[in-house]
Amino acid sequence: MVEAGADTGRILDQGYRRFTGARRPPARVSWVIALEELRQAWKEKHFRRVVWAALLPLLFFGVLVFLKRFMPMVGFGGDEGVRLFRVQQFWSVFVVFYVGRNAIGEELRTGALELIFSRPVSFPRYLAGKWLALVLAVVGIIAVPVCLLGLFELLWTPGSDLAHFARLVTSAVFASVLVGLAQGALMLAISALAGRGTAAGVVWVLLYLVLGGAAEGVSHATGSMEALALSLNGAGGGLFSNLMGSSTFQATVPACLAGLVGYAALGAGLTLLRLRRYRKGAS
Amino acid sequence: MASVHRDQRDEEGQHSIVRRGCGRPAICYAALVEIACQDLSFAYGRHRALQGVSFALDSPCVGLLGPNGAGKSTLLRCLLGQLRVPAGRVRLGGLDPARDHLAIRQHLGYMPERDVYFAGRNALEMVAYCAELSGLSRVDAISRAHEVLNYVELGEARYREVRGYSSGMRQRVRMAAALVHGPDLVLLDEPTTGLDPGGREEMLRLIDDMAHRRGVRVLLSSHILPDIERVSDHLVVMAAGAVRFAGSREDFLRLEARRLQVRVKADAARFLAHLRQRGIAAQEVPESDALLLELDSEQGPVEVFRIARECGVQVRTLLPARLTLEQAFQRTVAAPGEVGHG
Repeated sequence: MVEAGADTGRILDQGYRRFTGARRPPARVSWVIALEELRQAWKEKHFRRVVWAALLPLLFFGVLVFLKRFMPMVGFGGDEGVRLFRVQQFWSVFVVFYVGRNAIGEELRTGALELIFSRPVSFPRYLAGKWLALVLAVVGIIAVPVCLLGLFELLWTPGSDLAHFARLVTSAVFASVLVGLAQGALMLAISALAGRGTAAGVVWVLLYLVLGGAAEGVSHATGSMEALALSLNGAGGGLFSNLMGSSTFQATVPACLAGLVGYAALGAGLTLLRLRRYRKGAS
Repeated sequence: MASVHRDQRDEEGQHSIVRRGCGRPAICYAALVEIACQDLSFAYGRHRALQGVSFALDSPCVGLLGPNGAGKSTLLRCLLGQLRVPAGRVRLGGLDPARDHLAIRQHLGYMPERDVYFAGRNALEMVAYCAELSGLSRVDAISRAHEVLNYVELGEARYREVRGYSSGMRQRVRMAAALVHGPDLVLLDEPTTGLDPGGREEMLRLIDDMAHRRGVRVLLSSHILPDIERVSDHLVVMAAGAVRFAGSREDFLRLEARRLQVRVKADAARFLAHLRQRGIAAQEVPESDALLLELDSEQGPVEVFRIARECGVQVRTLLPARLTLEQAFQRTVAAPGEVGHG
């Protein structure tokens, strides 16, 4: 539209053209949202530091597995995968913090939701995209190191077989997806309700700690190991532990499943309620 | 390419959207050029924001005019399908925004009134993300984002975080985001609010260029009359949630057909006195030799000629008086219940 001239200093504009290329179907929009969330989180140096730091436990357990080849007494008696899973759950709290704290609240605050919902994006797909980002981050931070450790065991530990490795991989992925769903849903709900990213992040960490403490307290008071599934950490770790046949955690599979699915449903419900209010025009 | 939606044009150049699944027709023609509302009503709780809104327009640039709180933004959100309409019917190119909002939004651009941005992103990232959300691939999205940012003349600043932009730059980014996916129709909600005179002129020039040279239909919502007057061909005038006029700008300015502007040769003062004696409201037009007459329902131009002959003056011109947009708007908004359609 604007003619470039030596004295205008304006950009040579080729004019506005209509876009006539191929468009992806609206169903793919959840992946677009998820990848954008992860891309934005990766831009933060503290998030990158957390991700690199989260690989340190893998290095530690990897060295143990390697040493076990020469010194069989070293290690945790074959429960290295279960212990690594629990350690990685600790890191997942920070990963969820960085990926999810700005997820919905900041977009409500800055009005970006208005732009998003002027696109071919439905509320369920929007929510699915945000959730998917958190689940992918949690699976990446928990399941990937555990699977790599399983691979090390397969390669280095005498007597390890492919069936054990396959069981470890499927259990780690299944349990970490459920952990991601539960943590992600709660984080999204907090973000949507808190409004400010930093406030949402702080509330999330506090909630995680409080739930952990409460579960321990209830379990101690009642003597019921099932109560451990009240905490996100206990439910996720207990599920993986049970799936791997370890006796490290005592909460049963149904209790752990109920805990994780319950938190996921609670978080999703609260988020949908907030979005529904926005949809009715009370943004 | 079974799962990819493609734009298609039929023999008449009409736009169509190919849809699959959902048990709906495979192809629906949707040029998104005609906007039609029928008895549209919407309420925020007890507050009725829209009541019985009806109009149908097909024009390159439609101005949605009304004072603050008239229901303009609510109407735009209903057209987008962001608000569920409890009563009435809305159609964009024959499609229902409530049911087909995803299909419609692929070919619809929206620039909100509110100062919206994505936290932590620069203009290029924000516009490219909007393009991706509209179904473009990552590569196409970035390429298109550069194109439209050039079009709105946002230079190297596109690599700076949007949060630090001036109002004018943010308006340009929002305009770029509305255009990035190549829409048929763009809904602009108060696009010149908060701009300095230079920025406002630039924004209006962009809108005019889009509507009249680039083939993008524009629905421009504003309460700033000169903006609407500058770029719009058709008008929808709203007040208190209702449409007071819908039609061409010319028709709107000619609404008051019983106002005449007359020029006479020789003694205009005597003619003015005679007119007043006969009960015709007449006044001199400032800085002009013309007289402005307001006839009642029983009077007509013949009466004016008769009076001129009686007082011996020669009528040189007798024309329907044109109101300014501001005068016409004030009259239309002030008249409750009257609805005009041009």
